[in-house]
Order: sequence, then C-alpha cells, then structure tokens
Amino acid sequence: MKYTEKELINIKNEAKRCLYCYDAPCIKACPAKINIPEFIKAIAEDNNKRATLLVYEENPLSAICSEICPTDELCRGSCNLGKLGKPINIPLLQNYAASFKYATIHNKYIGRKVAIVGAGPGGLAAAEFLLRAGIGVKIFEKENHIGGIIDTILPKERITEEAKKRDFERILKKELKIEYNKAFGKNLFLKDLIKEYDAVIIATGLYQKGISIKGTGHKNVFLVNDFLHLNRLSRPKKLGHHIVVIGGGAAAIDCAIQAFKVGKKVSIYYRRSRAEMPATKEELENADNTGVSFNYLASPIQINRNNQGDLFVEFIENKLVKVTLGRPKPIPIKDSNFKVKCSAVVLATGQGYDKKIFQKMGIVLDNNGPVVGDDYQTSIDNVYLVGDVVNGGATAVEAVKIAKMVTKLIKAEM
Amino acid sequence: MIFDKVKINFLGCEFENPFILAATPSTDDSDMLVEALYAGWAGAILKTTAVGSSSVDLKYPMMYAIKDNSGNMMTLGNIDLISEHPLIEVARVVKKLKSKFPSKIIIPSIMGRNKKEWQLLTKTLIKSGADMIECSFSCPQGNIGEDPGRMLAQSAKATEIATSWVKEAAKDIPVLIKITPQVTDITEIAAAVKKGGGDAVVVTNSVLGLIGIDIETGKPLPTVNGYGSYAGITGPSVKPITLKSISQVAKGVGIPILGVGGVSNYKDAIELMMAGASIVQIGTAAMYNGFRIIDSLNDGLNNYLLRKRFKNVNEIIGKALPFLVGLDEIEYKKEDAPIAKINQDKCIQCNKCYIACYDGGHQAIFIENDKLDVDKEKCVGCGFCTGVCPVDAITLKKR
Repeated sequence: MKYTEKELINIKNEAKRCLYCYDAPCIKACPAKINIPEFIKAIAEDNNKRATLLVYEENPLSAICSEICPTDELCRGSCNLGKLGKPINIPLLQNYAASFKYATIHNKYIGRKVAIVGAGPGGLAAAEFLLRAGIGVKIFEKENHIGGIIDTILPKERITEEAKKRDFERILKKELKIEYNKAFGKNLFLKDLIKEYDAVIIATGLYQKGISIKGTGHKNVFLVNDFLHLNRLSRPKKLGHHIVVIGGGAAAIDCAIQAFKVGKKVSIYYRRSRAEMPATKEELENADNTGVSFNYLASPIQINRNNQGDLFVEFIENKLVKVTLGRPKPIPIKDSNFKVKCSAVVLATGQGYDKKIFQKMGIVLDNNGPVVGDDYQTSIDNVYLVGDVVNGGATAVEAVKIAKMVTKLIKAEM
Repeated sequence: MIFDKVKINFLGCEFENPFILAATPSTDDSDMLVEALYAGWAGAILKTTAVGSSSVDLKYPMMYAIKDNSGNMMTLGNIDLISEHPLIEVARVVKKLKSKFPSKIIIPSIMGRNKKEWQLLTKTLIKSGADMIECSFSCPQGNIGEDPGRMLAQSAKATEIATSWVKEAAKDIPVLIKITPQVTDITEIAAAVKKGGGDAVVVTNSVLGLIGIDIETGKPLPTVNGYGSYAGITGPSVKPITLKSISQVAKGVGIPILGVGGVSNYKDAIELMMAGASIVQIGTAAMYNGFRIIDSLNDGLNNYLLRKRFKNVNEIIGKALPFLVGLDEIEYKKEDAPIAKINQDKCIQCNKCYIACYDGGHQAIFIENDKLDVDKEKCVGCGFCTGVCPVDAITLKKR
C-alpha cells in the first residue's frame, strides 16, 4: 500500500491522539480482541514492526477487516474520544499497521494435521492459527480460489484487492496445502477426513435460502449471491428501469447499492420497519445517500411476469405485533395486497444451511442449524464448525474470533 | 485597540505594554524590527552585539525543536551566537528606530571581553539613542569573551565588576544585566549586579542543554557536519525554571526584574509578573508565531486585569511572592490533605487515572459499573491523577 505523504502525516497524528486508555473499550468491542491501544502506540512511536505483529497476532485478516468491519459499531464506535465527538479512526490505523510485511513467527511442525473445509475468512483464519502452532493444515475448497464470500460476493467497492492480497499472502505459505474444487455432497466426504486427520473444521459458510413464493423462477429474479456475483463482472448486464430488493439485512443493502450499476431506480421492500432491520445504521445511511427508496411492512406473495418481460411483485402489508422474545412479528393485514412493477427482483431474505449435507454427514441439527457445544464441536468428535456456518451469518471478524477459539481448543487437545 | 490597563513605567521609561521582544534572530534585522514595533510591541532588545561581531562564525543548522503530540513546538535548542552586524551598523539601527518610533523602548544588547570593550559598546549605543543597555552575562552556548562553557554571570565577583564598568559608561541610562539560572544561588549574582550599580536584572537566559540525539545516527542534535554541541534551551518547557529564578531574585534581592523564558501567551506572562517580573521579554514564541501575537498578549492581559478588577498591571507584579515559602515553612496538619474528586459529567472513562493511581500512586481509584471513583480511605490527595486526566475531570477538594 502506498500512502501519500499527507496520508502518513494524518496517520501519525491520529495515532498520537489516542489516549492509550487502560482496559480500553475498543479491545472489548473488537471480536478478534486486537490490542488496539498498544498497536496504535507502536505506530505513534515509529515501531511499525510491533504494530504489524500486534494486529496480525489476533487477526490474520487484519487488512481485510480494517476495510469491511462495521467499525462504527465495534472499535471506533466504542472509542472514549467519541464521547467528545471525535473517535480515533481505528480502521485507518489498522490498515496502516497491516501494510507492512513483518512476518509472524510460526512454530515448528509438531506432527499433527487438521482438515479445513472452506477457504473463506473462517477457514483461512483457522488455517493460519493452526500453522502458527506447528499443526499441519490442508484446506478443501469448493471453488478454484480462496477467499470465499470476500472474493465472490462482497461488492468490489467494499474491499480493495490490496487488502486481500496482503492478508492472503501472509496465510498462503508452502506448509499450507489447498485442494480446490472439493465440496461436501460432491467429491468430499467427512468420514474420509475424520479417518485421515486429527480434527476437521467445517467452515463452509451459508447457502442462499430461497423463499417459498410463486414466480421465483422467472427471468431476472435473483438470489443475493448470484446477483452480487454478476455485479462483480467488469461489464454487468443492464437490468432495466426498476430493481426491487426484498430483505433488510446487510446483503439486501449491498444488493440495493450495487443495483444502481445495472438499474435506474432501486427499491427495498422489508417486512418489518426500519428499526428492526438487521443492517447497521452505517449501512442504512449509505443506502439512503445512494438514493435507495425504502418500503417497510410489506411481505412478498408472488412474482408474475407479462409478455413484455415486466415483472410484478405482489406484496401484502403487515402490522407489527410485540412478542415476548425477539423482534416484533409481522402479521399480514387482510386485503392489503398491492403490486409493484419492476424489471428485476433480488431476493435477499436470508441465508441458511444445506440441511441435507449435514444430515448425510451424520451431524445433529436443530431448527437453527447444526448443534454445537460451547467448544464449537459438533455431535461428531473432533469435528468443529467455524464462521457463518455456526453463527448464522455475521462478519469476517466474528469468523476470526471463532477460528481462534476452535484452534486453541484443538491445540489443547493435542 | 486601546489597552489602557497594560501601560507601565519601568526604570523611568514609559512602556505602552509590558511586552518587549527578547534578543533573538528576529531582532537582528532593522526591517523586521520596524514591523514588530508597528505590530504593537512596546520595544525590543536588539540581538547581542560585540566588538568585532563580523568575525562571528555562525554554524548551521543551528536549531532543533521538540514538539508535543499535536505538533506544537515545546522546546527549542539553538547554537546561535551573537549578531553578525558590526557595532556601527547596530548603532545605526538604534538611531533609525528611535527616530521612527520615539516612544518605543529600544535596548541594544552587548557583550564585551574587557572593560574597554564593554564601555566602548555602551557609549556608542547610548550616543545613538538607546533607552537602556542590556548586557549578556550569560549566553550559554559558544564561548565568546569567556572561558569555554563559563559565563560571566556564574561568578558574583566578575558580575559585579563588569556591571560597574558598564554603569560607569552608561551614567544615568539604565543598565540591565542578563543573568543565568545555571548557578547554585541566583540571588548572589543578582545582588552582585545591584552592588555593581546595575539598574535591573533580566531573568533568565536560555538554559544550557543537549536538545537531543538522533537515534538513527547516534549523533547529537542539531548536527553540524557530523558533530553536535550543547544548545541554549528555550520554549514553553523552560518556564518553570524562569519562574523559579525570577521569584528567587524578587524575594531575595531588591532589584527590578525583566522576565524572559518560556512565555507563549498572556497567561504565561501573568505568571512571570506574579513571580516578580515587571517587564516580560518574549523570544521563541514571537519567532514561532510571528510578531502578530502581541495583539493577543495585550488583549489577553487587559481583559484579565478588567475581569479580576485590577486597577493596572502593577498590581499583579510579585503577587505570588508572599505565598512562596520553603516547604518546611508551610503549616500543615494531616487532616489538611485534600481528596481527589472525579467530575462524572466530564469523565470519559479512559481509566488512565485508575492505572496511574494503581501503579504510580496509592491504588485509591476504583472502577465500579464502568464509573471511576475515589476510595476516600486510600486517597492521600497527592494530585497525580489531576495531571493524568486528559479531560481535566479530576480536581482536589477539601476532605
């Protein structure tokens, strides 16, 4: 990463501004528990090597997370100086700390090996933590490249190639073996892995859930991942005058913002109100600023298509009813149906598990997905879950947090 | 703007305000001096001149600064010497300034090697219209006219004799002797000035120090052709030394004082005056921010005097002195110890006071429900936490 002279001045000044709080809230707010005041102090003191090693010690995806973490809700949002109106720009400083190539020291190989399924954030972080401990690792990845959701789904505006390159280069070492085009349910079997490896980490992420309404098979009706993947192409296909995005999470917001590339008008329809949206405040503001039109309290019923290729999404209005636990429940209001004309529809209504695959492997599931203990171990001994597959879809830094816990346990067992 | 409260009569001269420029590179150029006087300074000490000044070998770089975390200059070290202008040129500048600004106080600074030189300098400059003469007995860097590293003002006897030479030549023109804080007892030196007939002391000069070492090269700073030397230290961080020196002279010797060293703004200036200075000289801050700071100095002092209902600036001179005593003279009972109090409206929970008191104090600050509080039993009232707190949320209160 090349910083301009003025950017470097700003970085150094920002680092000097940090109060070096004791028992700092930023560390508590960071899922990866990076020692933020300490690495910032190192930047202020021109000890870049220390800064680099401190951030990577806790988070092998430090460059990536500095760009994609919802920092206003985590480290930066918790900064004590925020109480005076100007929190430290921690992601800026972390990005800087992660811009040097000082290598983390790895222990010598201790003769054990772990199989990791999935080379997304969780799988890669787990691999790095294990390699550092001297444990052999082989990753099995269904695509022909690493990165998972970061490399296939995340909009290009959200992350730089540079950040990915920096983190991936640190992780991809000759001790790390990766087999591509290997997937459960196709050419990869858990029982084989259990036989050959001391432990197995499943970090396969989530699968896009469809919704059970009529008309999802029409042309120009997309699932989130497909839509985002298409938009990453250098010249994505134009999709007409009006794109309707259904959903209220981070993925829905990403889709809506990306949709302006291929459509003129973009509307989000969400079944609850804005207050219940899982997307962060920052994400919602971004969408507001891009001109996304928000429509609340509407659930889709069906999608129709006419001969001219126009799509019509039929919605029903909801009212919210308080429940004892969790977000209020949307209840449809009778005869409140209405239709929205559009040229494309994106279904961003949530992600889920491929139940069949887990059932076939013999992993016990409940309504929320695979059952794991506090140690993230499944019903099968020495088989662990890491990343979105266990927490139902969160952030990369959450995946890192789980990867760290699981790899610590695996180390302890060996 | 009219600042009627800040006028002061000092040694029979009317100063429109108590602020004059100290002898620095700023006061070695007649055009710059003209600008400064237009800007509102009451006068200026011209950069020190000597007989045969043109043979002075200045070496560059001559300055190096230490900054605070916001990038502001806190400490300056310089290996500058005296004016490079010959005496005749300095005399010409004095004459020019006095004819252009008859009411401004123009004070050349001189440095001689023997009686003849001191008296020649004095007579020449008084002839050209100098209001007063400042004698540098204390420039710490370099060794012009003195043994290496040895200053005239480190010897009471030499100070008395040299002062008498200058006073003999100056007659009724006030003679100011600039002394150094680097002595065992500054009052002995100030008393020697008085005994020698000096009219006032200038307290103090820059403090000899080693401003820094470049850890990449292992060489002292500022580095001149690969070598470094001791420098005269000035800037905000020398103010405590200035205050100590002024107050000691003010309490111990009955002699008028011009204070100098570490003044950045009107508040610092008030402190120097409360320690006993009648006139405040400003060097580094005027170089750093420009002559324009005279406005905020005058305005700040004037508003302060109005707000505190002082009739004029004379009322604050030496105001702190009656309360300045030896530590063993302070009457004190155990129950007098204050206690730290945390203003929760100001506190931002950085916990810096907690760790400072824990590792550097009496472990008297505790955290409960994310709030910081003081254990009344454990707190001894040392006050360290008030200096640690970045938002000034801690004060000391009566127990």
